[in-house]
Amino acid sequence: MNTAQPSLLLPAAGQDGSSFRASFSAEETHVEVIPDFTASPSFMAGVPVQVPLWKAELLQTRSLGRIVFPDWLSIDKLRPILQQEKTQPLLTTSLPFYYYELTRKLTNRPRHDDTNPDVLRLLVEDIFQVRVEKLRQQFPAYLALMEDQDIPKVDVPGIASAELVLLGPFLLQALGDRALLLQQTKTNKNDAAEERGEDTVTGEPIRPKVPLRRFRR
Amino acid sequence: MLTKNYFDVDAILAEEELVPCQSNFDFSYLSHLDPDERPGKRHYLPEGTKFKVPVWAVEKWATLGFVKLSLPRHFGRKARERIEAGEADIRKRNERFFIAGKRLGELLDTYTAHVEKAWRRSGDSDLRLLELIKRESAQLRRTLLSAYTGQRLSQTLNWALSSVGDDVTEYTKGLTELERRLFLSGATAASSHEAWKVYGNGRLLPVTEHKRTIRSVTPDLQVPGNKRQRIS
Repeated sequence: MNTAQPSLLLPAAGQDGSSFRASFSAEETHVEVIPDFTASPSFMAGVPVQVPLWKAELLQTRSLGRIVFPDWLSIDKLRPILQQEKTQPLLTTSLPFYYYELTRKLTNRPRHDDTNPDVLRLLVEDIFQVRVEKLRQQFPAYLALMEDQDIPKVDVPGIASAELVLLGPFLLQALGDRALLLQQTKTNKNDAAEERGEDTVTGEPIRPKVPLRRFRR
Repeated sequence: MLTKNYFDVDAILAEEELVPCQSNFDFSYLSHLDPDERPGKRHYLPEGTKFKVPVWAVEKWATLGFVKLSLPRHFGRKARERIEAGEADIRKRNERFFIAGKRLGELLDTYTAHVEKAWRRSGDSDLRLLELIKRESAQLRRTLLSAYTGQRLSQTLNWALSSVGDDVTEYTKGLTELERRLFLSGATAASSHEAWKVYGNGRLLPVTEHKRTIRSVTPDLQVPGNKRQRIS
């Protein structure tokens, strides 16, 4: 079976497919679509309606409607956000959780209006890189924050799916290894048994009271 | 992440680390443990002999107080200072430096706990050696933690995220096994992200061309409509 154009490729060996899974989850996000048909009660021609992204893409592919970009996905909104990310130490909370995946999917097809999807894509890519760089630099500070916690946790307001997918596995592995190195040896088994009055002969250190048998020298 | 897995290969190999010991009394038939001993000269290991034994072999003796333990040279005070300053090649000392160091710390803690309890019961007052060993164990743990979570961690993160598709042998050859696992987790996530950016946004296009090959497997000449056909 031959296809005219390459279709979706599966992750190659050495990749865990986490970004693909996040992208799949992002398709449940609701976006506005203007249908070109009427199918009561949900769809009326020309009336915007909120549908999941996967349905909106399906409608647009079949020329049954067109997707309306969300409010935050515009040059006027993204440029100030980029500036804010560059100047503020914390991550901005004005972007949705799946902003990166949504941008990639929505700007992947030509538009019939004046919107330039390439500019939007580049702006969001810049925002993403700045955020990742901020998280990268604050990584040791996050580890230090969790030093005294029994169950290490850190709250990062505004973190999004793309950054979590990129940095999450490394952070989890580092925290696990750090917990392993911090772990104290539990040498209280015999102590607890003694308190209960049990015999703790096994493992009790001994000192010889008489000289041991010596061989002829 | 290391788990308490009995079959963890890295944990098993880390226990091969040789621990310097000193016997507290004569050991029969163990003269071969002394590397300076001439074969056949003695049949026992005299009291006070210094020898080296792997961690997995010495643990029971340590809890029973048969031997005095000390840290290997590359886990000692001077080596730890060089490691904290970032001047030491950790992998050259031990490929599983952090796991072996943690295991040594556990061994020393177990040793001091058991021996101290027995000596207190027997009224032995020579606990200074045990206090020294406890301090060494705590300092070793601090060194391992600061070495792992310090500059090496930041460098590993930078390399993992920014070297997708590049040859990273130059960097990873200096990492211990624990750090290599960490690097791999970051690099896998980064390469998955890059792969998704290239391949994951394409539309699922409908199939436009089909090549159909119809072959008859068992033609039924009497009933033409029953020909079994295989389409490929």
